[in-house]
Amino acid sequence: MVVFRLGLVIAFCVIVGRLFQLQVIRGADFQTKSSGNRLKTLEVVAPRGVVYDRNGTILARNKPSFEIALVPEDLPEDKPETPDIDEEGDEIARVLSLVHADTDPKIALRVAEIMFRTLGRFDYAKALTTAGFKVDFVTVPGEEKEIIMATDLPAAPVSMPFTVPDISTPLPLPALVQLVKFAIDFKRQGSASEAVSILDSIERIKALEFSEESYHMPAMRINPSPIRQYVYANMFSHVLGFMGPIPAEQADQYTKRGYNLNEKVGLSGLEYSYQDQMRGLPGYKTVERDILGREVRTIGQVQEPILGSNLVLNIDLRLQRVMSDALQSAIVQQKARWGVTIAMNPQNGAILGLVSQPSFDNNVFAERLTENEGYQQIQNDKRRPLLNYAIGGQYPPGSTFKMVISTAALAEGVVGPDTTIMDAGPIYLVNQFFPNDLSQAQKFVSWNHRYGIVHGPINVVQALSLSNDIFFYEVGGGYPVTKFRGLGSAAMAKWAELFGYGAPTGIDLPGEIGALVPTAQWKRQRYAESWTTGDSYNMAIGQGYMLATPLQVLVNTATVANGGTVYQPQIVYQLTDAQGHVQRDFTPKVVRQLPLQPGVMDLVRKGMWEAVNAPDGTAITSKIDGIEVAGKTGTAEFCDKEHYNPKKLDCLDDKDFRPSHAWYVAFAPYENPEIAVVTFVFDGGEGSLTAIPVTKKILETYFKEIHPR
Amino acid sequence: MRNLEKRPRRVDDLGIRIVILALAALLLMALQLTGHLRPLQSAITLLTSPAQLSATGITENITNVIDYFAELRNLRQRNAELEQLNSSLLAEKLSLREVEHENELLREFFKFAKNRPGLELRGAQLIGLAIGDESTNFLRRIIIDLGQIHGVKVGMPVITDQGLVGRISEVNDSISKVLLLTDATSAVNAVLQKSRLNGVVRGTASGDLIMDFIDQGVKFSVGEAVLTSGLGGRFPKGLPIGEVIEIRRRDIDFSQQAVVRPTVDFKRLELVAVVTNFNPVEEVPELLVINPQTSTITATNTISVTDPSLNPGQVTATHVITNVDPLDLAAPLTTPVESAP
Repeated sequence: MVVFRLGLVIAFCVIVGRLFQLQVIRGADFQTKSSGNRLKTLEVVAPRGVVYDRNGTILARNKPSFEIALVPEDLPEDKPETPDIDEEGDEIARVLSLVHADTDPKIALRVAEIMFRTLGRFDYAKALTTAGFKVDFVTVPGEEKEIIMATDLPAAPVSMPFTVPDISTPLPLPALVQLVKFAIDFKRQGSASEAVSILDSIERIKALEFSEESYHMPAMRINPSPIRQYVYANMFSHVLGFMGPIPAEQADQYTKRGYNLNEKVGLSGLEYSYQDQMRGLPGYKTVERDILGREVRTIGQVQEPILGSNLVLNIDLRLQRVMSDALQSAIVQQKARWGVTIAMNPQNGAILGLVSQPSFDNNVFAERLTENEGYQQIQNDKRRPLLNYAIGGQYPPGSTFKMVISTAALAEGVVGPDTTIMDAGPIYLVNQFFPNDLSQAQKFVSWNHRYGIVHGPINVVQALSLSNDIFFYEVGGGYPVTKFRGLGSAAMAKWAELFGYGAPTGIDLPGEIGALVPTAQWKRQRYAESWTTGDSYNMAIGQGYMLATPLQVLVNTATVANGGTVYQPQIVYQLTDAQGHVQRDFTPKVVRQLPLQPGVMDLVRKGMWEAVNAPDGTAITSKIDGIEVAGKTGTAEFCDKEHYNPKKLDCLDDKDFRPSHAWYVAFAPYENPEIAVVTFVFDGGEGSLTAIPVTKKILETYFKEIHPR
Repeated sequence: MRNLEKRPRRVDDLGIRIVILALAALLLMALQLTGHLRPLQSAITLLTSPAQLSATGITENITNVIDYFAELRNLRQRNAELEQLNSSLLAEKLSLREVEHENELLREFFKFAKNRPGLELRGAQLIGLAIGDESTNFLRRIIIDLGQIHGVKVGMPVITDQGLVGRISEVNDSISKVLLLTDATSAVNAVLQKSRLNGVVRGTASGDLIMDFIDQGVKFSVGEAVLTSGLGGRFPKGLPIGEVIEIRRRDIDFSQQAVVRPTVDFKRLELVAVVTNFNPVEEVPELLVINPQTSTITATNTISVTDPSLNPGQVTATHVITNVDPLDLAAPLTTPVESAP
């Protein structure tokens, strides 16, 4: 009896003791363990800001790209009681079969490629060989190293070839399963709840189809990640740009700015310029999961992601479309190589449209680039569609540069409003070494002389209207015969720079170049030669060494249109948040006011008005009903390898014509300009023939359709 | 007996009396058998007959009383029996009403099936809610009374005439689990009927039914019907899923979402049908317009209820539903009859 009672007491004590151990001594430990199973912190993706045109039409947005991944901890474990069944491998094989890795060689290749990247070349080979699969190796040339081959020989660069497993032939399903198993074992050593990607860039419709099977494949995750979709593709490629992985050489810089090296960032266009603003910051949430690993509820505070800012552009989709189409047809018609057209509000620098052609479909950069036909095509195109010629191409501005020279001449007092210069035919600059031999002299003609026309005595307004070259030769470089003193190299360079040439305009796009404003010093350093009067003559009509980007020519035009204020061109109008609230509003940026006496710009403007509206103007075809347009044509001769004629040691053709770029700049309405446009067609022939129709179409659209009077 | 105990027992006393009495009895019996006692009997009878008569009346009354009580016991029993019968008939009636209701449901099914000739359907009863493996409050799985022996396989769609319920996620010999549309692991390809936009209808942890991955830049409206798209061939095309009740659209997100109210009332699931086979490329009218004239019913279903206590006693309730094809009627309709007493 006593023994029985004692037994009861002992048993009770044991139970209480065990309870104490479980609850009190190891309680915290178990708590952590069970929370670890139950609670999981997930990243909440922050979408990137989208891009709208000035009317709120969406131009760039996000779309999902799908990846298939496996979560190690959700895979079935190999059961010891069934040693002949590989539960984990079977499940992996089921998932791989679902995505057709067993039947589609392309998918098998892609899975192997991803595993190769995940495992590295050693483990990749090891995973296959340990499972009894044969691995072929290929030799690749390695890094070059300076190696001293023999003591008496200098160090020579030697490449260090190494072998890598050949991943160019599709692997059978069991081999792929082995690779994935290997990758999963690695992941288990770190965090078993982190998914291992096995296939990416899955098209939406396929991903949706696969997702129906996820209910009985608990380890499979179909993860959507945002990629960019450019709704109007080619039409806005140079403006919007594209995104891609952080370039290796910029990795440090991005890391310092708080970027994760797996992130995609803007690599060109506005995507690059506004990368920091458009990028969102991910948030975090803790979720409770049931025993099947499904999210049951969210625990505690969700750290909301910070959404990226949206961009609202100054560009109007309707105008951009017309600009794109009109330029395209001009290029096709002239069989020209490329061209640019840009429109800007001359009163504030807002870019209303910007087109560089040929363009490209920037959506191809959102996809995987290897085996990407679209990308290969862009890469192989000799016309370099990726280059934004509006800001990255530099060309002689031709007669459009007469806007600068006439302003400079009036401002510097080289000519007055009524000063006339005589055009009586070609003029000659004598050779300084043979001053008496006219056959050695340099001949300068005006475009009209080819047609047997001389303009006689003309003033600055008429010179602009007629685009007479003799007037500008003499204004730019002086004329020894009449003892006329011109502006000279330094003054021309000074005024060119005042108008914005020689330096990037500061537009909110990457890759803008400054182009060249030649000076005597530059020529000396570059060619070890002196600046000649002939150089000044050429520069005065926008030829010779003088180069400009189409955007610089537009800024120049806008400055004339508004009476002398240089504005920094801006594509972005506003930054807004997801609710559409303005975060940063548009503020015009004045670069400088030109130091002009009153009335100077009026004369330049008058000259451009007459070019369009006087009976003998050079741009009369750009007139449009009801709106007073002012403009200036340009036909900039050039010589390059393709046009070189060895017989004439120049690019002259049989009729002694050089190839030329077509330019036309215009603004309207004349009295209170709202829009300034530049059109440039490389190798486009005469400005009046090729570039005017494009500009005219743009102005008509602007005044008749977008802002009807 | 207590008194006797107090007296000393005398064996001869009692034994002798018994022997004497026994011998006297034997003698009297022998006399009666030989007929020597008859005159005596007659004389006694003559003397005692009046008294006997009245005595008989008394005993008869007594017997009657006793009989009465016996009868009462029987009646009670009978009453209980009748009550039992009554309640069994009531149950019968209820069960018949149930059958009728079920037939009502089936009729709807027929109409539905008529419009979907490409579907091979097999009717099933909801027999339980699989809440054992749930830690949530939301009903996500149900159990039905069809299993492997009925040809049910994992992945088969489960529907009602109202629309899609889910699909078979687990099969045992004679029962199966159905994963409902609203489960967080469920994903079904769907299309918006009017705008023709596609996406995936999935359950969420919060219990909402969501149509996800609808392309950006396209518009759809509240009230649009959501149907199965048949993409991937796992579900028949054009089965109703629900109706859009809310649009979740933000320019910055990579796709649009629609909150969907399911057409099936998951709280009141009774009869479902397992789609055992279907033609994945079948083009069907997606809007199920049921024309009453076309729904001629051709199946017969007879339910006999027999009460053995009633003779000739066969109460027969006959429910005639015309139309058999293609629904297998046997399974759903025999079940309640078997459960009747």
